[in-house]
Amino acid sequence: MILKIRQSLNIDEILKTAVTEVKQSLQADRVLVFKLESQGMGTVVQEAVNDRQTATWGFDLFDPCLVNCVEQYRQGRISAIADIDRAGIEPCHIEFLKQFGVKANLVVPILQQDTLWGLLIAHQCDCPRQWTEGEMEFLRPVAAQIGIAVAQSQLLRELEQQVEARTAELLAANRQLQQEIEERHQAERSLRESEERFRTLVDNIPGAVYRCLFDRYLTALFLSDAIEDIAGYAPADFIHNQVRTFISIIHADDVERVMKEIRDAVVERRPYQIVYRVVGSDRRIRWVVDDGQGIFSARNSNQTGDQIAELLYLDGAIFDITEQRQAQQAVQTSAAQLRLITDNLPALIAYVDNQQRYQFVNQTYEAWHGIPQSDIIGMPVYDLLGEDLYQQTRPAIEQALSGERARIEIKVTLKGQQVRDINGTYVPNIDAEGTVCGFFFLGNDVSQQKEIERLKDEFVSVVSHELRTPLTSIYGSLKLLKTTTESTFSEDDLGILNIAVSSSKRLIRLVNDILDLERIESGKVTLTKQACNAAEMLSQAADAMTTQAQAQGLKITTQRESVTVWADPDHIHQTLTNLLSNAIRFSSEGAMIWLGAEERDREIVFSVKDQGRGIPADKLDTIFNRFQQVDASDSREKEGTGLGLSICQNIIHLHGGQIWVKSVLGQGCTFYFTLPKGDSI
Amino acid sequence: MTARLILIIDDDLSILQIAKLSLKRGAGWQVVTASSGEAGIALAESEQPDAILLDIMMPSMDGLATLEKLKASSKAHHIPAIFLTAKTRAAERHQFYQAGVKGLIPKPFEPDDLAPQIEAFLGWS
Repeated sequence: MILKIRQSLNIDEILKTAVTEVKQSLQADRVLVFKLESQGMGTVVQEAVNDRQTATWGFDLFDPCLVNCVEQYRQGRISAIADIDRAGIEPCHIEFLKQFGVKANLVVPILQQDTLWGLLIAHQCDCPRQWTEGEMEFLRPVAAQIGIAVAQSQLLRELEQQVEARTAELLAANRQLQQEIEERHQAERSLRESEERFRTLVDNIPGAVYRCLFDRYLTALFLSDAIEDIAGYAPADFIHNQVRTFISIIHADDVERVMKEIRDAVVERRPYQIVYRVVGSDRRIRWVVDDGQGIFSARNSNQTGDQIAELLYLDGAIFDITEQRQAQQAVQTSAAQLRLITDNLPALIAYVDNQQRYQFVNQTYEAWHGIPQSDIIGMPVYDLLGEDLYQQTRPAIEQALSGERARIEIKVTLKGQQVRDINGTYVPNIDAEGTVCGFFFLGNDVSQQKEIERLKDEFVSVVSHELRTPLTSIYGSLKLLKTTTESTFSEDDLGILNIAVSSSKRLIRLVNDILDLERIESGKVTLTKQACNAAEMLSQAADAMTTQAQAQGLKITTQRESVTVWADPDHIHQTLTNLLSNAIRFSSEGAMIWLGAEERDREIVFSVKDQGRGIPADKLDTIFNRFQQVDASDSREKEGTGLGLSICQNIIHLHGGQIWVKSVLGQGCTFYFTLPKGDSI
Repeated sequence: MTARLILIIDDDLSILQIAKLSLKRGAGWQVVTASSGEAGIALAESEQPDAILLDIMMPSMDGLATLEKLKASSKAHHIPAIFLTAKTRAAERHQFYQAGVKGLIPKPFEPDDLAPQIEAFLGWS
């Protein structure tokens, strides 16, 4: 039994074993373990009892007489009562025992060192019983073992409780640890994400983002990858000056200035923006702009307790502006070239904005007005030109500012009272959005040109009179001589006389054609346009040339389609007779000439077709030029002046039409020209 | 063809001569000549020609001024005048007709055609 008790640590099991074994050994009616709580109070914590006896297990019992015996028990004494009625014990105790049917009892104290823990009690209920010494000695070690077991059990429980508490603490600590770990992971994730975002941000900045110390090397603490694009070196090279310093890639001529500008900005606590050159790994120079600022920390001064700022580092970004700079330089060069060109042009050149203020004038413009360029820039046009001249140019200015090109001729009175003729062109400057930003003015002094034109007019007038008058005399004299005295001349003399007559006739035609051409080309011819019947014009031209055609045995056929053209009839008559005259002169006897006019789209196409010798392909393009004839001898043999087609071309162009020729050499040619339809105006 | 008396006024003596011969020989007309506007007006008033052939560009008094004077003359205002001229521009032609000429014969003229042209302008047959 004692072995069992020793082997077990389960107190309930121990006590159960103890009471069961003791009851069986003593053949007692009841064996119980009473745990003493306080004075006279206790609990039956285990019991082995016969079925017919009252069970006390689990009862809280109060034995008022127990207090008297406690000291006795503490000293380890065993109480053995053979018959409660004869043992002379307190009646209250007898009363207490009788309620459980007790007749005899044996009480052995259970001690834990000097403390009375409880009692091991054996009851005999049926009859008195004389407890033997052996029985008492049997119970003593049992009680002792119970005491030890209880102590151990308590110890175990305490241990278990401690373990439990500790376990709980550990679990709590573990939970906290896990939570902390989770929190840390979360923080790390956030940091990583934040860093990722920062990195993406930095990588997307089109410049090298940096953090560096403001020391003699500009020691880099952080430098983004973009530095590699700018300088050709890996960013890691610069971190803590591992391979090279940042200052080493700044152009030697710029270092001092860069450091000074940073220092000034740091002292004044303002951001800096510095443009300097970076020498790359390939020795190529890149222009950069460095935007940065000093980052300060506030700390307390030891002496005064005031907050003083300490420069921690420089934060900023470096941007490659080489291309912008090159473009800028190109613009500057271009502007300088433009200035050089415009300043050396004799024309007046200006740019005026849409507020009618000068933004640019060239030297000629400046010289004309006698005011320095710098004073003219920004000046309103009105202020510079004055009332009269401004009113002259106003319509053109307004037209240009409405987005349309304008041209005017103005008379400008210079300070020296000299009047000059200016041909002004106003070209609007329209931006991509269609807004008129201003206009360019280009003025040409055409005074000299005008004078030349006047002289030419005079010359033409003189020529027309002075050449024609003697020509009239020569031709008239020869003609009179020939027609009236033919019979008196020898055949040779008559031949010579004929040469003189035809030559003077040719000279007359030439003078007439030259004057005609000059008048048309100088724009002095004013067309009197009207609706004309094309068929009528064709027949009038045919009639005018009939005599000449018949003299050469030619037939002119006129197409009689009735279409109306918008033209000056006299000039179109001149054109048609010119073309007919050519056709007649270059046709052989018996040939046909066709005159036609047909409607095509919004135009009328006239044609003069012959069966003459035709025009070689290489002459088709030049035939309308002055003095250009298929054969150089034509002017003599065919009585042409070489100006007829040129006159025709000018007349047709004045009408807004086109003239051209198609020809097959040896088979004749067809001249075409177009005129606007009569109802198209 | 009726014998006519024509007054030719031109400062160029050669032209006077050619024109005179052309009309005499070609049409058998009588011709009187003057080499200035002033002389021409006097002759017109005294001789009463059937027509006057008048040059435009003349020194001192030009053709237009002479015509104006003729038109103002009580004795000569009725005599038809034709300009003989090297000026053939449209604008000028218009101006000349406005001044009261009956026709324009451009220089250089065809001697044989001179009389027929005058007849055509003046409606002589």
